[in-house]
Amino acid sequence: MNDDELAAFLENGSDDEPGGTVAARELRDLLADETVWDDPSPGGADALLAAIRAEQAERPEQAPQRERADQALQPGAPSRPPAAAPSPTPSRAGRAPRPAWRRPALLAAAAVLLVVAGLTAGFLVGSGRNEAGGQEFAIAGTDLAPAASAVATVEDQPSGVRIELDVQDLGPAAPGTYYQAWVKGPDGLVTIGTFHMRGGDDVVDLWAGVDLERYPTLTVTLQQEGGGQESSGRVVLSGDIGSTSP
Amino acid sequence: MAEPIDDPDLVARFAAGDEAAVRAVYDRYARPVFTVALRILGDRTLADEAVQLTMLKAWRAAGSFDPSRELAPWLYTIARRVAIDLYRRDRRADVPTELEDDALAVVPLSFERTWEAWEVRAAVDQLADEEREVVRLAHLVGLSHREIAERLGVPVGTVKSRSARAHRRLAFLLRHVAETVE
Repeated sequence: MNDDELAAFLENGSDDEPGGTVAARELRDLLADETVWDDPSPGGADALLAAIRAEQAERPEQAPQRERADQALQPGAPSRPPAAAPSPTPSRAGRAPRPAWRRPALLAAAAVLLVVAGLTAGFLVGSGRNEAGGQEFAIAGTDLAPAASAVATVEDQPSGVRIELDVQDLGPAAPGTYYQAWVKGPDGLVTIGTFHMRGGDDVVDLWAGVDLERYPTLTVTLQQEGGGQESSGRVVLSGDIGSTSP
Repeated sequence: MAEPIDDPDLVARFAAGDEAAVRAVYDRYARPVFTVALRILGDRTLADEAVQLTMLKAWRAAGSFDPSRELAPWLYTIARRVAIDLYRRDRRADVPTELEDDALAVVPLSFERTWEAWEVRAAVDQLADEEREVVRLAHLVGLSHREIAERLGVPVGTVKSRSARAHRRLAFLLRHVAETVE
């Protein structure tokens, strides 16, 4: 089948036409498939650039980060494994290592500060549950925001489930974009609020009106203003918050 | 103005995070990546995530890319692996632990079939806007030339000439795919 014949078949041929080859029929089928005509959500290039800039800023000595494709793309390997326990300490890659002699003194000072802060704020750090009864969960940055992290404190209230999200190193949403938090599970995806982080690291109050046992995964996506009400799919934070038993 | 995709320095500038190069690569390849991901995942939200992860992984790995090779097959390989990883991740969240191994054994679509979809999408994207719309209305919506003419408010002859031109271009761009499948 030459170009003219293929063009004629693609334009006018039918599947039961004897002149059509298997390949030509497959191409015709694909031309009628909606996946060939659907477009990614708007703002993807901006989000990609923001992710690249964030990664370059995080690793200035490695910009751009070099990574062997065969190491980065192991089938089945999660792009970033979720942390097993709350881990509010953000990544500090790029800083010069401190002298070893200073570490004990710094650890001692940090311990004192933690005790003072704990007494002041009334929180018992490390149990996964704060004094007010809220349970804490680690939320990890995805490959789109590898430096970011958060601790979600989940607490049942008479009007719904309050989720306090202590966000670290996420970076401000660029003008025209915003962050949106979701809970999702087998029953679907429910939004629980939006924010922008333009004032720096902060604690964001979110509210869910659904049972988190059925929506156990919390995600944060970067959204484009005017991009519609659906999730953009550009997930920057993700973690499990569904297990609320002590 | 869009960067020429055959720029020999494009990959190097993409690897360096040059904004124009990143936008050029994204504009040229995001839609084929999305098509492949959507065919594998069947979910727009996950397909959007796959586009972002594919492009980010490509940027990270671009320093080791051999510039004498074509960019499209390399990006396609990344896209397909990313989509399958997301498929497995999504399945892992949905199925009981004891069924996980069986779920992971599922391979959504054959390599060849998703590559054909990539090629068709890339070819369609190279058509002029008015030609692409005629092809879309004919194949996806299933309209006749007369119905397309009414929809677009142009003479039937214009639709016929656009359609013929578009399909000749598609045949030229997709001939190598047809030869591979034969």
